[in-house]
Amino acid sequence: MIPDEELAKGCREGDPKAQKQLFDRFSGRMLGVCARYASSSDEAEDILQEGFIKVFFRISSFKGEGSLEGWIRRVMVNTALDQIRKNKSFGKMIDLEVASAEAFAEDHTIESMNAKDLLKLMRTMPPGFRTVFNLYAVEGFAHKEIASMLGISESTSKSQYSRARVYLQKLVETTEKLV
Amino acid sequence: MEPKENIENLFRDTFNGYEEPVRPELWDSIKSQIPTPSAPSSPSGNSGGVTSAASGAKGGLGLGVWGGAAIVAVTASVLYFASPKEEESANVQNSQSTEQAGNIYEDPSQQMEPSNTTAMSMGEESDLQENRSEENTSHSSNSSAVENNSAVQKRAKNNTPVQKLNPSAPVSVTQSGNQRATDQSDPVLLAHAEKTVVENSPTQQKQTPGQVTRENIPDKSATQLKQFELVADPVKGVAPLGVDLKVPAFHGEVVWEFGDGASGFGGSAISHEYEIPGTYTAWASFKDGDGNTHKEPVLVTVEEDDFLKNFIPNVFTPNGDGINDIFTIRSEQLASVDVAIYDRRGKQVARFTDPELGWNGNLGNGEAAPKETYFYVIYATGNDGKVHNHKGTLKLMR
Repeated sequence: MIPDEELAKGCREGDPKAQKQLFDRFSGRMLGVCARYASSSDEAEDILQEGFIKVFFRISSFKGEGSLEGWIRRVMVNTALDQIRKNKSFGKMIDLEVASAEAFAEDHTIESMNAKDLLKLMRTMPPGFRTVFNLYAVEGFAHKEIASMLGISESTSKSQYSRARVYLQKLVETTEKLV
Repeated sequence: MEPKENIENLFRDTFNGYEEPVRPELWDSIKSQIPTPSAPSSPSGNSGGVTSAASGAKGGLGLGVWGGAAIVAVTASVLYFASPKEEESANVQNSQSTEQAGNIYEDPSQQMEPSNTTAMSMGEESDLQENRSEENTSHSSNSSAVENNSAVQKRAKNNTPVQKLNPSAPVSVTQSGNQRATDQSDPVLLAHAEKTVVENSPTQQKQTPGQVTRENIPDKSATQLKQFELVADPVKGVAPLGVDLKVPAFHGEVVWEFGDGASGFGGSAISHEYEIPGTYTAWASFKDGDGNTHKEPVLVTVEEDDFLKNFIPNVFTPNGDGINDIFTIRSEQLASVDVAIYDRRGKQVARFTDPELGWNGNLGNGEAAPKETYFYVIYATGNDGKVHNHKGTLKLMR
């Protein structure tokens, strides 16, 4: 297997083969990342496309200081955030109703949670909550950073997160039945 | 602060390495929108650029001038026309003819949205990144930096993918002093980089609302660099390893790269959990009170948890012959176990907490799981209360 650095070098030189290989190597995992931020599979694909176009244009700014995958992933997350901003989703800070979590759970019995199931649960949340939850719980950013990324206050980030957390916890508990 | 419990772990573990199948058409669409070599020339031939006017099928992406092979990134210039009304700002970018490839993807209308505080911190952020790249250029003339470098290499002899200290050098060398490189190597921050770039350009006079005014740029050449050290505690341990990272003598904002693909932004002390065994170099990047940029490394070694290894079977043949028909982990030394098994696509196929039940090799729908390699994650607690986590692969044979 060609090492990541070689692939990055090939892409810097605009080598179509390297570009294809880089896409093949990372696109599956990256679509997995995009899917967490998107409201639908279509939107996830849009983010992936836009993200990879950025990757190929910006590959020269990847200095090999971290892993290539980590860098690409950050491009994807950034693209997802742009997408959400574009849709003005942050304007709609609708509150989360735990009751709706229970209603959802009644219709969906899931025996053991897999990624698809969790995506379904996440997509029942408005984008603002989903984004904060993704950034904090899955990506591991601090609230301060999330606040500056999303242009919201740190306390908004914290309160959105804790509400998202309670909501998901409820959803998971009522939906999940361990084998 | 309330302890992070299952819900975070559930999501993090489930999505760790999670892949979604990608339709091949996506690549075709991307391919038509990305740079191609200016000519079938040698890699060093940056003689010119081609113009293409491909406009994206989705989202209004488009591109203009691609400045040849990107080895000399500084010469690359790309235009973006989000919509006709944005032409003016696009032209402004063109006149700078510098290096902000990619920034221009950002829909300019979005630039107005974030609050001022956002813009401010993003601006400072890319400032820091830029300083870092300038620092790279001075390595050859700065003996302390060079020493620092080799020390890093020595400490990192276990060879993690993070160790490439020099690839950026050829690029950096081509950057002239005033043309500060827009080296936003942290793409999360890109969304707002355009504002900063505008001020970087000596020819750029015009400012639009929402832009950050850069404050005095410190002159690094004259000042004596303060020495800082990044300390990890512990530097070595069994996975999953929670590590406290700290730059003791520094108080301020730090960009963290943990070496396992994760990064963060926060204060001078942070905790990070390394889940997978391996050798990692964590980096702290920050600007000290004198405006000098520092990037400090520390090596973290994450080891396999051998404790569990002895109890985990390496053969799993659920064929009903009474031998190794279930996969489980049994030990009188363990008080509890929680085992999740995933297929190669990251889908959880089974989970059990009762070692007597284990996994019988069937999927949730009762069908026999295909013969292939599975991954398992074990969270176990010993009788002594000690937590032992383990990840591994499992070959299912019948």
